[in-house]
Amino acid sequence: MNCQVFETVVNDLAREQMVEVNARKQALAHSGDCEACALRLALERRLSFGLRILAAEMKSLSAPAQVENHLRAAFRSQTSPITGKRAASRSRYWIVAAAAVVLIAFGIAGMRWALDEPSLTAIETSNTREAQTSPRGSAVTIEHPNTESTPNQTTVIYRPRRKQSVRRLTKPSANGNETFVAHGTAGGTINTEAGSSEQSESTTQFLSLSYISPVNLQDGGQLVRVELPRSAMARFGLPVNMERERYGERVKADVLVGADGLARAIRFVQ
Amino acid sequence: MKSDNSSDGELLQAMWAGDEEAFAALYRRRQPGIYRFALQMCGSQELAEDTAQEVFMVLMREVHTFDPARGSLSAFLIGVARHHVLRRLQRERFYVSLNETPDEGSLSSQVFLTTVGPLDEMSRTEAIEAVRRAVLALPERYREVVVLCDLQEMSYGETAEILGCAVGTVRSRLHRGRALLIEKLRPAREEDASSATVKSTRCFA
Repeated sequence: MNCQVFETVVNDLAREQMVEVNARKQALAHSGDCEACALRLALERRLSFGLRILAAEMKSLSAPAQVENHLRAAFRSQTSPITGKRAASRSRYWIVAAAAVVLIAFGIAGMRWALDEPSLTAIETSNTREAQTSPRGSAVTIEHPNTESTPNQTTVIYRPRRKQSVRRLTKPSANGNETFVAHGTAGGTINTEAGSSEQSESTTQFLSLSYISPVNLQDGGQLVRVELPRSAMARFGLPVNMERERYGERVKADVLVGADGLARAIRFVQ
Repeated sequence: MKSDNSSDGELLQAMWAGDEEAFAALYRRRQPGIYRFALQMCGSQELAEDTAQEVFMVLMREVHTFDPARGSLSAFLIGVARHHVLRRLQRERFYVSLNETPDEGSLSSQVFLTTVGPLDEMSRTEAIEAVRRAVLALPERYREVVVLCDLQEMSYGETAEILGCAVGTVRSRLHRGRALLIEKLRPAREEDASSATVKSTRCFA
């Protein structure tokens, strides 16, 4: 062992720490031969001795009793507010959770009501004028003067209240395979004016398209804007100019489509 | 009432549940080591008392921050004490106490390492005072290692856990700290003699 290696173990030797047996023997042997390392080991041992005395002298020291008293008081004052705060915060959490559950329940119920219980729109003929109304929906009476084709007929349209975006539908109508361009009505009620955007339009009254239970629209319905050949007007007994130059023109019409996809009524738009 | 046989973890759980006696038992078990560590680090009884109180206040407030998987409660508390002491020392660095300034030229320093015989040749009180002053005069990074390893008699591993460093770092700091202590405890007249030798050597060179 040389002095450099001795330096690495001198601390552990002096502090009486665990040192490998061979390393310890070699270090002690080296200190016996090297005067400088022997002095170094002596100084380290003396320092360890002094530190041990200091540690032993301070072994009995501890914080005064007043510190414990202060801490006990602090503990007492802190635990009760903490417990109260915890209880308060827990109860607050429960209240918030209950409120959230109630809100969610109301939200779900509202959505179900809006989706499953559509508003009622009643279309009744001028003869009966009996509007069937939904207790929760809005009912609108549409006069239907075409008493010849649909005498004493009342058409009731249930529509969901939700807004519907404009979308394209490809649905076969009751009287032919037509491509419908559906204009969702903006949640308003259906009347003869058919919404604010169509107030400038003049329309005919609704003409029934179905001969079997035309009023059976309990599952809701849609108002669909379509384009038809002019000859379609003649089918409903409406006067139409069938001149050659206007024969190819198409006319706009609103078809009342039931929830089952069948067209229930139609009105022509000018 | 918690007995002294309960483990730190059991006392901690009872304390968290609001058991004051468990807290007191934990305090009595761990407070002396913390107090001594602070006192050996700063040399001020007031600061040591403050540290002991602050450590247990922290334990009261932030007991959830203690993770048994990361180390023992003792190491956690000593770590909190260390941070508190270092913060206070940093704050009070500009204030020098006339009473507690280490006097390296004192008699005890001069006689501690020059006496060839056993330590009883010098006054025990003087020797203790000399070592205490020398430890307090060490830079903080070496002082804390000397305090933990030599005065608190902790292992290298425990010290490394508290300081958050490697065992090798602890060993090297302890080596350097002890060397500095020996330098500080070396008598002034010996230093003068050695410096005079150097000067004369230079003169003759």
